[in-house]
Amino acid sequence: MTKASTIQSVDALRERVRPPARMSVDKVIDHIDDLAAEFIAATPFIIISSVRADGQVDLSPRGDPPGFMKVLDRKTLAIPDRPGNRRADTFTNIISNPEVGIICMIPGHEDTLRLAGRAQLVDEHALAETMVVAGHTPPLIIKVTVNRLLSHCAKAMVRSHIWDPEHWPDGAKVPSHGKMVKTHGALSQTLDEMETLVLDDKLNNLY
Amino acid sequence: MAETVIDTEAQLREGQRAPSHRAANKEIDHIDPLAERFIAATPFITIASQREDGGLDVSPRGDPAGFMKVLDPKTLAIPDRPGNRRMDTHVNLLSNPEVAIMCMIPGNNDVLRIGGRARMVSDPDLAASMVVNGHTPSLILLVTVDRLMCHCPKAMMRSGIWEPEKWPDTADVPTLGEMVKAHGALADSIEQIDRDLAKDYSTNFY
Repeated sequence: MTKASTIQSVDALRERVRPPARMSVDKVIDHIDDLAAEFIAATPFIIISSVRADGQVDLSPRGDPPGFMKVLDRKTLAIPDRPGNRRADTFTNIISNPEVGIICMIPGHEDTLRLAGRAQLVDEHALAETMVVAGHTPPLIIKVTVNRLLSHCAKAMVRSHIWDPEHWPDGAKVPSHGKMVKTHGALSQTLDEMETLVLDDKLNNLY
Repeated sequence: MAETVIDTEAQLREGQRAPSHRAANKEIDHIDPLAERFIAATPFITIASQREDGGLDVSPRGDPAGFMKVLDPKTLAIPDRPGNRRMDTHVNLLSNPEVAIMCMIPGNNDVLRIGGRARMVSDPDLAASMVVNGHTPSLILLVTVDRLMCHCPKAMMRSGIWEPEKWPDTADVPTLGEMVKAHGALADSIEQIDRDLAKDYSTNFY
């Protein structure tokens, strides 16, 4: 048996993995076409990646009813801001480095859409008024100038059974947000107090 | 009112409440036993990595829950499974090891965010502990964890991601086959591409 080794070159990588099919190589486009716009219109959940000033990478989930993102033109996607944890990690990152990567997920749909580009944070009242949910107007909007877009294959979704509720794990065994925040922040509140605070935040600060 | 671009942190924080003490302090620099339990129940992650040109990629990975192994409080092992063989994430790691990982557990509104530096290894002993359906991963990502935090559930709740009764009708959503054909300007018919994809899924799943 061979010993453990670290892969440090594309050649070493390709010794272990066959080249991609032509259709996988050619599928990247540099704009939002009509098909991608339809996918985006049906998307209620995305994950945004951005880069911190120190070079480290962040990921953040965003969710809203389908149609929450607007395609303004073939190069521009608008994403409304909703209340989160107010750490504003993604926003702070975008101010120092505009590069973002986004994956769009549609529950029940196995293909995903990946896009990337440069983002700007804008305060634009007229656009914000087209993005009202439950009476709440987003205070800020992320505008992404798209330079790469590709449709992603279904294997990861199928292997994880992510859209197959019969296969979902028993949530009771998973540590809760309240428990992790209390432990990781070494907080003095009791776990019951933490769960009440988390529940209150969910009920009152969703928009 | 005209558009204002927010380009300083002072502008960003103006009029916004500061994050709570709880949100500001929830990050740790290792995998503790609670996070390890979360990871053990996770069947789906997305990995973000940075291209040599500075652009960002986000890639999905999925497997039965427990597919990732916590080797020690600073090290997470993620097996490689066949994908599209573009190797975007792998190639990115050769020039820049920084990654971020989001762990998602279907039906659970909390998510776990991990940041650190990754390298790809070929390690037969470790790979032998990560066999699924008789398939041993040929490569493993080893992530040295620098940052870990539990993320609030609001995005999951607003999207209804774990509420099947709220899921949209996806009959009209463009399929991978349609998009690959259009975006790659391929001559093959959609039927042929769909057949190729179905074959890829049935023979290259592990």
